[in-house]
Amino acid sequence: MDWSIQRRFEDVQVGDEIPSITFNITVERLIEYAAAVWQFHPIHHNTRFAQGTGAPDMYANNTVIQGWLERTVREYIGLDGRIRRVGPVRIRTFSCPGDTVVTRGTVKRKWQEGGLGYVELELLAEHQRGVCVAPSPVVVTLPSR
Amino acid sequence: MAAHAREFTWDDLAAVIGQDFSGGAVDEAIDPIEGSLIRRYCEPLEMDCPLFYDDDVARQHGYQGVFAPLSGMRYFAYPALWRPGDPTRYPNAEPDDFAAGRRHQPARPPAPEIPMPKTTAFFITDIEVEYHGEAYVGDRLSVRGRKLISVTPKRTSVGEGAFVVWQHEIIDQTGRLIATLNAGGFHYNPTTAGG
Repeated sequence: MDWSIQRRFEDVQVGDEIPSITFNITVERLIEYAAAVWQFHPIHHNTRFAQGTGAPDMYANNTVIQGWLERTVREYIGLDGRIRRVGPVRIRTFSCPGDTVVTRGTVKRKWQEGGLGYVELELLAEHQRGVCVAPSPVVVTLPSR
Repeated sequence: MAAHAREFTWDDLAAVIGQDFSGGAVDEAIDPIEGSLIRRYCEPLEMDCPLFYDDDVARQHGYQGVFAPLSGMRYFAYPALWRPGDPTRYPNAEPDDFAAGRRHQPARPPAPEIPMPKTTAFFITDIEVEYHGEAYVGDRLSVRGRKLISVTPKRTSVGEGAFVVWQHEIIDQTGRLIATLNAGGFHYNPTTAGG
């Protein structure tokens, strides 16, 4: 990622696509996520326990999912962009080891308010079993020229 | 915990939408935000944004310094798993023992009882966050408020229960509001396994 590139409010048009990012999910990666947020509920690292709750396997916690979206947005808005509001983000299904999650997004609208250039993005995430994060709004501000 | 006089229903819970059940408690994170905490958060995400590790870059772009990724804010405000004086969280060697259900419970003022049916499983389904500022290295976050926002009973592929949304506020050590968080989850009794 080249962080010297800064996207500006004038550069963005409704309908623009946001570059996708791929996240391959492995057991080790889920455990690294759990350790990173100190959240050791066994649904996130124990297959037997997770299956006892009706899930197909251990699955990614919600903070990880927010992290997928944050990384995707940060790489789009650059260092001078600001994330103002996220959501509602609806998690549709479990993301488990063996899943390859891909984030996707588009620009839904843009407006100026209080001297700031606002852009509403719509992001989703999907894997080979379908959409795991429903289309979700993220409001950001971008610098102007 | 005192036994309930009766079983609660989802209608009982829906009747108290809008009420704050925190009892005024403010739960403080066990540690201030540290660079190592941010690094460990970014590593499995492979998030290389320099705002999260390069103080000079962060300042050049209008921040007070390196700050925590917004997506991890709730967890940077987490209390400890265990504190000196707590009983053991591992009273047996059952491989699937639910130690996560025995996190350290910080001292809190009495809070109203939540009239909620008993369920055995839960997962987060909805997140909505409005960000009011950044949480910087050195800040110590706290969570205050537990306001009931919505209750939606539903039968899903994993079981029968309800989607319940709560609102919390994340503040720093000065009381500055960092984020307003609506967190929704599905509380249910599983009807299938491995589905």
